[in-house]
Amino acid sequence: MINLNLQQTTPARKSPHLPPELLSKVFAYLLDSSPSLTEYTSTSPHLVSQRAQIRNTLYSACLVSKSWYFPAVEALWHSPEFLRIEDYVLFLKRFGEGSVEQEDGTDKEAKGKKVQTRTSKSTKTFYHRKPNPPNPIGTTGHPSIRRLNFTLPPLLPSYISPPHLSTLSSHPPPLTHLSLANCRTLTDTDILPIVTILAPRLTSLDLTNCWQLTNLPVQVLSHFCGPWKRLKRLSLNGCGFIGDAGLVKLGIDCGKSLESLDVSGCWRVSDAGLVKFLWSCEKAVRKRGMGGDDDEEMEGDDDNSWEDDVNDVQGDSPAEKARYRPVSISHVRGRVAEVGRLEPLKGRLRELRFNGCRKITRQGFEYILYTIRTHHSNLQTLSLSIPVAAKGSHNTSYTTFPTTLLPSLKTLHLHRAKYLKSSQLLTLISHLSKTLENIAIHDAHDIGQDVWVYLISE
Amino acid sequence: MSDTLVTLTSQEGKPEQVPRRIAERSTLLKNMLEDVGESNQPIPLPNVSHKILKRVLEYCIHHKDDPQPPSDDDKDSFDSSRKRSDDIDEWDQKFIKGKEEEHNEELFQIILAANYLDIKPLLDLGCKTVANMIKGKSPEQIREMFNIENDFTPEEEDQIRRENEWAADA
Repeated sequence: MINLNLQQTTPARKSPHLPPELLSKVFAYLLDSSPSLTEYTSTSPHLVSQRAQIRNTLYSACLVSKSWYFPAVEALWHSPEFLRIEDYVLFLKRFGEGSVEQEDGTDKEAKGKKVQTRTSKSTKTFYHRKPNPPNPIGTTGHPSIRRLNFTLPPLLPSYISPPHLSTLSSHPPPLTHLSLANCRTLTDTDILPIVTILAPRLTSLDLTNCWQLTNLPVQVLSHFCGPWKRLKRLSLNGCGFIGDAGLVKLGIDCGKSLESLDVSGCWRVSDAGLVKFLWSCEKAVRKRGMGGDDDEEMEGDDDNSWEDDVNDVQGDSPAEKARYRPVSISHVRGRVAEVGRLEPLKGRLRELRFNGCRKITRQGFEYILYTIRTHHSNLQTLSLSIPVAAKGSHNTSYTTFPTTLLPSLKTLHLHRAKYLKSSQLLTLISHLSKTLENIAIHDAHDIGQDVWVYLISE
Repeated sequence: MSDTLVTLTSQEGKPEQVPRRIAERSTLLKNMLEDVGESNQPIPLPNVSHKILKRVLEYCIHHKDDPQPPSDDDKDSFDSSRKRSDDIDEWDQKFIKGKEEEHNEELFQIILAANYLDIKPLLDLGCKTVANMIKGKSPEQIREMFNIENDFTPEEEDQIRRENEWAADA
């Protein structure tokens, strides 16, 4: 408990010291009083100056006294933000130096001890001097970093280059969140070292628009993050070379922990891959809940109507393929009526975004919704685009859109809504009206007034 | 039972009688009273001066009907859900401001007492106030504001400036 013996304070007007945990609380309030990152992305000058003021206050707090330094530097370095590219350059320079200085400090101490021993031997006086611990003042920032976000200022992602990531991986901070969104120049070989090193602690990784990435880093990430069961959020938005193989590996290895996945714009992701991912995620959770029992039957395994339409997923054994074969569309439609009666399974997934995945067909789309409904009943956020009709089909509008297959959602982002009729949208919205809090409808050219009136009134 | 009076003894040994319901705004006292049960024994608070105890009780009396705040088990203090420092109630603002000449000294003492007695809303109020006070201030201004001694050597100060150069104002 904190010593609060106020009578002992001898100087007449000296304030009592706040312990570090209370100063950390003060700095947490200070950080939270600045505009959030989402507000900040608008880069309004007023918000930027507010953010700069907070950062500068923390910088000042570091210089107040030794008791203020440690909590202040921890707050300042927890989630470094760069208001100018110059700040990032200084940070990176200090980043390398800081970690090297920490190592050098230890080396110097060790060298000092050796000399001491040699001198002692020559004079035949033998004693051990405990080395002084290196002064932590000025080197505490690096180990305090938990989140790194290179998305701001807007030009920073273009500035990030492979050597910068090498600096990060050679002196890895204990990061839990990393955002490399829009760092378009990065390739597999740049990402792999950092991903493998950070894997044990990583809970969130944003690789949005790192378009050169292929399945390899996703597979490696899954392999290394899987055993730690910490990775909760992953964004692969706009990574066009990532396909089913990466997604399936992700589901098998990280399904136990993953709560949010964004594969929007991953053109190579097909309905088969997504379904297999959803199945493996839920299965991983179930295995965990049942103490790793691998022999349990997947629901529907005994059904004879499976079709071989997704067996092109790479790297699977025949047994695995048999286990994950999805059902035909007629089978799905046959089961739609049963959905309400089935006991839904509760996968860990809360958010799934897969709009703009071109390989998703209308048939596969229905099976994806069916799988979400039956295996991930806790899903709260869904972002999807209405699949286009098959080539040669005259009927471009999606007349059989499976409204009832959508689970109870809080947030729905509907892209390419032009393929739906107003009446279908009305049914959809009224179906979700009990739980829905946010809805975004994109590309809705022919939506009638009645839909907007209904949306506003609801 | 909640109307019974509880005697709290301050650091100076001065007793202060309060209804049990008021005392139970403090989680420390609530747990203590539950453990002890029915007893007329005064509860010693060796870490709280009489002046600060009276101020804390003033706060508890004003907020006696507020719902108990949820427990904060967040391990990473900087990751907790967004808590604004500018959403302070008008009465709370006046209360924490206290007397102008003693404001800063008393503020730290109230924070420490709230922490000791485990009164989360008061602790939050104190921390928010300090956060608002130091916003935009230089190290010298902060030191002066709270009578803090600069215990850095010039080398250490230089080292800190170099370490955090990226965060310094342009």
